[in-house]
Amino acid sequence: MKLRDKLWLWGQTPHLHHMYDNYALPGVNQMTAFEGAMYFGLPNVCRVTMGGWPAVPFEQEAMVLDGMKSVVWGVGATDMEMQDEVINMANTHPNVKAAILDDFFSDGSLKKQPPSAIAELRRKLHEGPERPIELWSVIYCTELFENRIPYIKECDAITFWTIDGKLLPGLEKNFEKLKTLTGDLPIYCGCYMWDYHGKRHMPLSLMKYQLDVMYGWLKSGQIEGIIFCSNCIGDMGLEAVSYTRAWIAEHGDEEI
Amino acid sequence: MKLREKVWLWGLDPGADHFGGENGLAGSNRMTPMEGAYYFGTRNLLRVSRFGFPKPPLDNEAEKLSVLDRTVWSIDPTDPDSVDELIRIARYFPNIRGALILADGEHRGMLHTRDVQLYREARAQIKEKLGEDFQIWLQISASKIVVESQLPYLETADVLNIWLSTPQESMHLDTYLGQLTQMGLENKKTVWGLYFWNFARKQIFPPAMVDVFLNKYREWLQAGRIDGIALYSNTLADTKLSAAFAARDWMAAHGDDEIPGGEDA
Repeated sequence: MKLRDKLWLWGQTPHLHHMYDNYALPGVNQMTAFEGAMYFGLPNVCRVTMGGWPAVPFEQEAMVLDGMKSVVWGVGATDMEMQDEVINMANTHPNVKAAILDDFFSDGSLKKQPPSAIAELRRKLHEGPERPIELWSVIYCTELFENRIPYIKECDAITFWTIDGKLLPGLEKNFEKLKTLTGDLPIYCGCYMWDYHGKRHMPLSLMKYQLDVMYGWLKSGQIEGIIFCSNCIGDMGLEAVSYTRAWIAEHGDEEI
Repeated sequence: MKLREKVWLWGLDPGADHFGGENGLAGSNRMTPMEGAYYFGTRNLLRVSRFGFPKPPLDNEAEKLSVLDRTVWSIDPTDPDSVDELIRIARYFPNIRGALILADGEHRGMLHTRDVQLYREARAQIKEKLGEDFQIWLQISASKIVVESQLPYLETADVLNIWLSTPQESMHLDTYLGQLTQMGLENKKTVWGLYFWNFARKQIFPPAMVDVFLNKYREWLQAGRIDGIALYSNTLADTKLSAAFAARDWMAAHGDDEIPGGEDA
């Protein structure tokens, strides 16, 4: 298997990262999730809902994403329509691998549902489609507390994110902490190319650092993959994007 | 080379053919030109402006299309800014290989002009700035190439992009090809188009006719009589049209067929 096969795009609807002006992003963004995946040279995509986009039905976009090796669709913990649509996509598109809960492990989100609700969602994803698909979730480095364990146990994989650039130097320490919570659960590492909380360019030193660390984890089998965020900053001429593209081109065809 | 390397997608902004409801199309369209190229299994794109979209500057669009092998962008010879913008981005993106003049787009909001002098001036400016190898394409309906008065326009092009409007025109395919020789245009490269929708009658293009057209084009390609195929378009690809499915299936079946000839067009 090639290293590239372990690489994913965090795919969202174009312009959404610019929409609320929360991240101080420059320029404009018009690149779709599929376009972003091809631009970075990534065979897999997490197609994630943000601000209600994409709205169901997903079929038109799923047709486009048929060109991907694997697709993970965003799902809402309490959004039955979206859950049913993801199951429908799994039934009609064989490359659908999982559904993912985004921004789920915040205190506010956890108060709204007990672990049993996530267990029920997982059961639905395993038993609802004609073939089972997995349940993944996002967890941020600021959410690594033991009270998350009952929820984590109901997931099939965890994706681990450091959205605040100033916390990236603690990436390795936080990863060790994460592993105490996840046990043997597969882990995918999220990789930002913009410092969203810092509202600034991702310094190349930090870009290089996180890619070096994740590369080592990938080679040693400690993580299942890397997820790059995102097409929503792919076409703005960012230095970190160019660096990442070059990194993927350099390492993508290595055997792993 | 493989047949798919000779296939181009006509790429418009999503929704361009649904806009205003004039074409009688059902559903909606969201597929982008680049997504459409991958969907049909080609890496060649004719990126066409309609209703002013994509809006310049074209850097974002050119950046994402940079992963394709070859792109040709439409220009409006009456608008010096459109020619200047193409010349500007073509210097940054080496996969931009040509400029497309829409000689026959009055029906669907496409930019067009009948002033042949403007064609010549645009051609001269582009060749001067981007070199003789940068191709000038001209889009035209097949029925027009039999008219002598079209000759001055056709002569300004390196590549003629010829379109047939209805399934019934399939019976004239050989006539149209022969007419190019009669017009003294046999040395022009030609790329022949296929619609997935009968725009003239606002009705479906039968999928069986897709095979008729594409099989004929493949035969011509293999015989070296034409230089490419153009599919129309990403705007029709995700709207459940049977002709689009048929074209995709045909590409999957024949895209890797061996075709003689070099890369140009």
